Amino acid sequence: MGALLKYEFHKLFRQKSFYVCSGIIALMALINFLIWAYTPINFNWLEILLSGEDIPEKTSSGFGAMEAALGGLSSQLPLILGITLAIYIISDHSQNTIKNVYARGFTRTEVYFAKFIVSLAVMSAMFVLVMLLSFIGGTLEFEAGKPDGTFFKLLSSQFLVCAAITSVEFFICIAVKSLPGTIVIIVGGTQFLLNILQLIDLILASKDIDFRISKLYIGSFLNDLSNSAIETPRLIGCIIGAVVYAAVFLSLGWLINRKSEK
Amino acid sequence: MENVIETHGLVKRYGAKLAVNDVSAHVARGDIYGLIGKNGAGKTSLMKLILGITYPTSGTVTLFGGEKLTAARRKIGSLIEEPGLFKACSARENLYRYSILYGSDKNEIDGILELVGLSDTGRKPAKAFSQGMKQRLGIAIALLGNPEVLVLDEPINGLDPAGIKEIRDTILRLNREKGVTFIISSHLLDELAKVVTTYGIIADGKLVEEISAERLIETCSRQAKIVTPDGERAIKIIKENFSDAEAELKPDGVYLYNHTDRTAEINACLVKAGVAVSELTRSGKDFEQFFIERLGD
Repeated sequence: MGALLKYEFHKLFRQKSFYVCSGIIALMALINFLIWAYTPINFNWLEILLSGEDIPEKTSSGFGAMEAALGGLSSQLPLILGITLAIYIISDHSQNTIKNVYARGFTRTEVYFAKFIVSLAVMSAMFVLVMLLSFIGGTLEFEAGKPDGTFFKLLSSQFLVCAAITSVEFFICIAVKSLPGTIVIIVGGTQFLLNILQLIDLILASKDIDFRISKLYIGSFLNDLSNSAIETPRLIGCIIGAVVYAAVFLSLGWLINRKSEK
Repeated sequence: MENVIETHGLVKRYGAKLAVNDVSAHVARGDIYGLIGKNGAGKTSLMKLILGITYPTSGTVTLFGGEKLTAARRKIGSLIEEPGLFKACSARENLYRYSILYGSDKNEIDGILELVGLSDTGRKPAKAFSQGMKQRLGIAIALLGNPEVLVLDEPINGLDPAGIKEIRDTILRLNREKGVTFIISSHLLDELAKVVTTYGIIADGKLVEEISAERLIETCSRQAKIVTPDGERAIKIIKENFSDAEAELKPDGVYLYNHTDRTAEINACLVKAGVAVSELTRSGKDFEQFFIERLGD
């Protein structure tokens, strides 16, 4: 497994798209920070307003910027992460290099988890990059501030949700094994799914049913978790949801990969 | 001699198509095992099963006398179909990447690049290589980590005559000097015949015959044809007198593949038993004909 991890990390670090995508996410994080910095109220004001709750004050500090960072990037980060993972994972299949790994006795399970660990590392790198840039921006613009009681809870929950998003996207890459197909699903499919969920929510609302299916969508977890005023039941729901997403998609991907032949 | 690779009733089915049909092959240590068959006969499918790239529908593979397959496969280098190359990377970077997995070092990479004639390709990416260069890089990857066995699927595909000779010489050198065992597939009989020590003839997914090169030469260079109206009886009498006789009844006569230096004795036996012999000739069998008969139409 050690050799396999070294091999996978070497490939990742030699992959230009990893740096390009990290650069794009850094740029987006900066723009996102500027939008946040110049928005006078809490970043998620629209959603909060729609939910009928009071809009809480924005915490104008480095730590506040970190907390809010992923709320503004809740659709961009999964997209860029998905594209990076697709290029990294699928290149082995499109170039047929994967057969040289299987043929030397490395099992599908070993290869699968080595790739997943590297995918988590990619996600972690992007997560840290976004947080770091937001903190620096917030500190330069306002002050470093102090983490409030929910800060570490929210940040670790956000990280968990990002890991779950990684599992879902990793599964799509493993199942589709075609770069154009995977990107279409990650970009177009996600948007399509969101529209469908919104439509269902509208229908549910029109029938006075007090349930919003879009709240089960993993992307909505990131939005909610970037709001420091999140209620505890929703926080727990997001955490459980993320764990379920990760477990289901990681297991499904493993089952598919076990049977993969070249 | 110890068999480094054995397959037992190996079957691979793709939907309705039976790509490998009950194949039990035996590759001895030090062999250059030539897998010969027409395109689509099942050569590549068999190799993929041996390497674990695909899973058998049924049957088993035994490597190095029963070692755990994952561990045993670390000792096998391979080139299957198109070489698996990192197209944006140089030859050296390709080898370096795989060396991380296969456990080889910089000196080995330099030596292999020299051996396959790619040491002067510099930073040129693999995607800009000619077909022959890609093939040689594929062979270079297979050679990494000092494998005990090399499985090469159509290794001379796309190579020019000089390249073919280089690969052939490399195969022979590795086999003689380092004792590397080879399984080589090809549909080019003449090329295989220059290196192979054992043939595995495969047709429609079935291993029709395994025959050593020595035995093949013996079979092809010496055969006797007996023209008689009673072929079946002739075979019976020959076998009564020469118990290990290898005789076969064909439409134009009885073919005898051994004891061909004793045709006078055989003739006498047949005549004595009352079998009329109108013609008894010794001839060399066409090498190609031998395979065509077994490979089918």
